[in-house]
Amino acid sequence: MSKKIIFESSEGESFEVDEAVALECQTIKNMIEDDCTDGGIPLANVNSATLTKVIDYCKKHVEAAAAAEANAGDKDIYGANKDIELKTWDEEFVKVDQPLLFDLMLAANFLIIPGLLDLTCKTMMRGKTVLQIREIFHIKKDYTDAEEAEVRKENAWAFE
Amino acid sequence: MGLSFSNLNGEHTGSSIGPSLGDIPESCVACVILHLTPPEICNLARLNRAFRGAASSDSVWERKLPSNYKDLLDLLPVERYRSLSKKGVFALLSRPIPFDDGNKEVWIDRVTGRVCMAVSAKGMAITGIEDRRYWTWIDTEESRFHVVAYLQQIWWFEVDGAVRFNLPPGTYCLSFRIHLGRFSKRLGRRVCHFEHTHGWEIKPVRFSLSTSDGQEASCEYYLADKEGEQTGRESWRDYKVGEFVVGCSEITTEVQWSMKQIDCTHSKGGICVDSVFIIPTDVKERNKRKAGVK
Repeated sequence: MSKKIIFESSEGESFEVDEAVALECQTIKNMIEDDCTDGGIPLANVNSATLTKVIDYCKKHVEAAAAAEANAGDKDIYGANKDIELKTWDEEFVKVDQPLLFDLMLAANFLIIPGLLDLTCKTMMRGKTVLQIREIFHIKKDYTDAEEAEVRKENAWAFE
Repeated sequence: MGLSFSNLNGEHTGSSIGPSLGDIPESCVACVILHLTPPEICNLARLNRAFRGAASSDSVWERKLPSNYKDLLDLLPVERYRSLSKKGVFALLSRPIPFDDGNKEVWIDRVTGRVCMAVSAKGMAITGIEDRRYWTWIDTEESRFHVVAYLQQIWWFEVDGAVRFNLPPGTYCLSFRIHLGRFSKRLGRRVCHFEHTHGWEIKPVRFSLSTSDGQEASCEYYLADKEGEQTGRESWRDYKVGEFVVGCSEITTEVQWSMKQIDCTHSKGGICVDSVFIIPTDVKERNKRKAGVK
């Protein structure tokens, strides 16, 4: 039996995970090393829905890493496929609504999960139009008409 | 990142309406921006003043420039880039930069920041080029170099070329841009002429490439079908010669290529040779997908 770590979400709900899974979070890793995880780790700024997803992510990546190690011998035929599988899994994983994606990014930033932070940041704005970004993030335009024309001109090269 | 992302939302509105960019830690905003392509970053500038600043920062654009961008700048007069920001440098280098007497061009792909290259037929060694019975130069807007080599007829068909350049690591695809027959504008319409086109269905043309570190690739194509089929003949075609890999350790890569049909028992002719393209494989695939969608 591997050691268990208990997380507590902002709603006070408890989540028990294998230590290996918790170690995916750099912040938790430091706490485990400092031996201050007894009695659970309260995560006051991560809600249950987000925490469930974060744990899913860490579990999957721990399993994938273990599988990759076990198959290190025939990486050419198997490893490459596994990488693609994990990438596809990641892509599916972040197909969530914008508020949850946002919370996941904040959680990844707080818990220091570089892979998840990268993944959520990558998904945050990619493929979205200016209008969509403005709507999602409530960004107000503060340009005068003249300024807007100038910005357009300044960036026209990128769309030639 | 040395950037200020404060007040990215413009006038601050209540935060009760869900996520707003002002709530994102600075390190995340930097990460979000770095994951975007240059055109997407330019789009962000249109959001508001703060974004315009963030989307113009040198620290963002430095990461978008290829590792050898200084070599590309060396091809230009200093005045053209001395006072430019990193974004300005990216914009400048995304337009073709001529070198080697204007017979070669190098530029960076706007979406990936990868280095692409083209070499004009003018910059290659063509057997018999000085003899007007065989070859002539045709001025045309259809070539990025505004001129193509037209072959009337010849027995020994050979076009060779080489380039030495500091290419960033990656896999590159080399291809020839060729047009069967010749073309002209008549009353505003493009017309093709095939009166000299012959011989390409008898034997295939051999394409090959080699690099200074010993990589080789070659292939053969019949430039015309046995029956002299007309489909697809009225346009430029890209003949892929092969791929080569530039590793991290190489400083300068020399690539040589050739296109040959030297069976002197039959003559061949009626073909335009424009240029050779050296394009990163992933950029080429994306361009192809884009062309397919059109």
